[in-house]
Amino acid sequence: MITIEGLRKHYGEIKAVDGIVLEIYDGEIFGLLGPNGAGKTTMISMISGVLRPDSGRITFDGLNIWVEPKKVKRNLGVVPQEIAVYEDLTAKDNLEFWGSLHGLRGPELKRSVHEALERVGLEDRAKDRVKAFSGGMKRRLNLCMGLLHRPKYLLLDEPTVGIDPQARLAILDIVREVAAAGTTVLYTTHYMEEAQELCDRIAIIDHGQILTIGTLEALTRQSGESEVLKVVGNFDEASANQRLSGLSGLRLIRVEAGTVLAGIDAKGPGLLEILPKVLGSGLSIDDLSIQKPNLQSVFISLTGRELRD
Amino acid sequence: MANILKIAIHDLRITLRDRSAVMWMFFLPIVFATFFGLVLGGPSGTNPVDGTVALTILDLDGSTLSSALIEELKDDRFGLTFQEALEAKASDTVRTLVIPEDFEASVTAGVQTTLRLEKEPGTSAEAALVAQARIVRSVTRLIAGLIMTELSEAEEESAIDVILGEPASPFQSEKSGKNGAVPESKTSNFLKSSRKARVSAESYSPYVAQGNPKPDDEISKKGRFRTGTSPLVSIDTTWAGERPRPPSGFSQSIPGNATMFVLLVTLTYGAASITTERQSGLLRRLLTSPVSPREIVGGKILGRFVISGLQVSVLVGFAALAGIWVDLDLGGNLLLMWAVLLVYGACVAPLGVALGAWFRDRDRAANIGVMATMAMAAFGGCWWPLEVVSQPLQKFAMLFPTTWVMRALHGLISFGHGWKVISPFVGVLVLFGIAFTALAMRSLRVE
Repeated sequence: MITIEGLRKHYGEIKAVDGIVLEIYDGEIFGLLGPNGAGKTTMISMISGVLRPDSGRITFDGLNIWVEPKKVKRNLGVVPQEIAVYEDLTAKDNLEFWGSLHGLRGPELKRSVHEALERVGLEDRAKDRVKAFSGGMKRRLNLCMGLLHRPKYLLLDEPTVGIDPQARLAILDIVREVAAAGTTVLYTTHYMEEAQELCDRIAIIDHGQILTIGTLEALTRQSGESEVLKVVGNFDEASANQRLSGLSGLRLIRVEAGTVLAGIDAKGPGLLEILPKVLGSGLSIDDLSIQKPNLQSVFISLTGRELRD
Repeated sequence: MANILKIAIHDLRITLRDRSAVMWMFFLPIVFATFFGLVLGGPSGTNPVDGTVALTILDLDGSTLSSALIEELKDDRFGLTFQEALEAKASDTVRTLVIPEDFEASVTAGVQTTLRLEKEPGTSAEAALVAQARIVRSVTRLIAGLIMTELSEAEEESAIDVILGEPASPFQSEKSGKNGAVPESKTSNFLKSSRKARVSAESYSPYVAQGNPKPDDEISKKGRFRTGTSPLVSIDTTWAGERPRPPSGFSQSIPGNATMFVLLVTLTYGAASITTERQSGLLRRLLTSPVSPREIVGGKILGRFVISGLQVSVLVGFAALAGIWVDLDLGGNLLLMWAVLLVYGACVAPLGVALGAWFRDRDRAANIGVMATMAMAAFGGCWWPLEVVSQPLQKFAMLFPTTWVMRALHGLISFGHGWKVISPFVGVLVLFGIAFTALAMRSLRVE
């Protein structure tokens, strides 16, 4: 189990990570979801022993990574957001070097390299220089380097940034396989869909703080809404507030000129009763969409902002 | 230690995969050393200091003393031609020594006289300097011979005077000449003595060189002068050091280029690789493996050293082969030369790491590396021997490790020194290495 207690990292006035408390259970895929700049990378840098926290404690099965770094890191695989590979070397050379740093040698190293390349579908490109690889192939190799020594814990920092949907699906499949084999995975992303599809539990993070933690069902239930309405039209903020704020069973999440996001209370009168009232409110409406509650709506209801903001 | 070694070998492997790095490590130093070795004099290091220098004599005096001077000049590797009159200058004259009309009279009277060396426009300044030095040397021998002749006669006279109870000064003997002319017997004695006189560069006395005879009491105190035909003074003409000239040809170009290119590869490729690894997140990723920050920095420094060590080994190997092919004299101690260059490689390796830590941009780090290398190579004597630059610059050059390695290498190659003599220079390199290592450890923070 990974235990994080009171983790803090401040850069002057900026609180990159501000008092995080978290437990990640063995064998689960734990998602850390938040917009860019929420503090995900800072947090994962501290958990992986790269960035020293201002305060707080990080333990892996009771071993503090900042006290016994070598012991912990032997069981730790990290896949950074940037593609950190030696482009002038072949895929095989890259893996052999990282494997040797993790104590693999001889036949065991060769077997691990072969298996890892096979797992990410790069076995036929093993002897090619990485600089000749596509972006997706480099991402897969980047992932492969974190998996090579079969770590007990795998930390992935936005591993699918900047790649095509097919390559993204391939990476998600690999992560699922690894987790199924018993590896504990911490996965950071700002893609809501990834967190929804992949993670057993999710923490939503913003401004260096965890806003909520739970399974997908628990989080959506926690929002207390059955649906989310998005209204787009030709109106100003004041008139939208005036005409919609009094409607029973409708909770305004975000109101601005031309756009309103509102949640329909699960315990209220229901969508069929509220919808005609919204349409008859007198607002000039061009488009109206209804979404089932998801991590996006949970995030919006918690922060008033969309994840992509 | 195992992790440090793994990182170092890995860095070597990456560098050797880079064709341009390999070219700068091995190919270009050999090309440059060969080219400049040939330009600067080739295997024998031909130098005007060693060769015959052309000189035309215009003897307006025509005296015994001027003839004696010409004889001295002939012995000093001058290719002499003679000009009969002022107007009869030959078209191929490069420089002319004019012996004035009153040369003998002035010298024997103790009056200063001036020999004029006229250099033709467009002729070699270096050869003119050599000619000037040799003329001074010949004149010095001439004057020394004259003084010894005077002393021989003065001692003889003094002995007679003592017997007669009348003290005498050696230089008073000139009074016996007519109108200041040197008596015939004295001239012949002088010619005998001057052939035997040699003046050491170290014991060279401006007092004598200016043609001023030493006071008799000072000379008599020395008690070294004897009468008779045996040599009165036997002083060999020698140069300070064991080789009478600054390094030239391959003895300059091989150590100079080895020193410069080791530094160049370390500061450019070394710094650029560190910058790239930092930018791409590889250094941070290294930290996520079971390797400590110190091991990472140590591995990077050792990596640069291993690369420079390989480079040095190839270059010294080339020098050894060149020595066989073209009869190149590199002082005969290639093993010690290799060891000195290895120490130098270890000294500058952390500097490359520190430089890489200071810059975020790969190209900028490499550019600064090139500029730093050029400056240190120029000041350190990689392009020309330090011996030819001014004293203030020689002192300033002590700030650079290149100076100390070049001193050690010149000591081995050009001056035939052994470990005992060059060890202080190597010691300074070690101190530089310690300082640069501390700088690299402080600068490269991978956390």
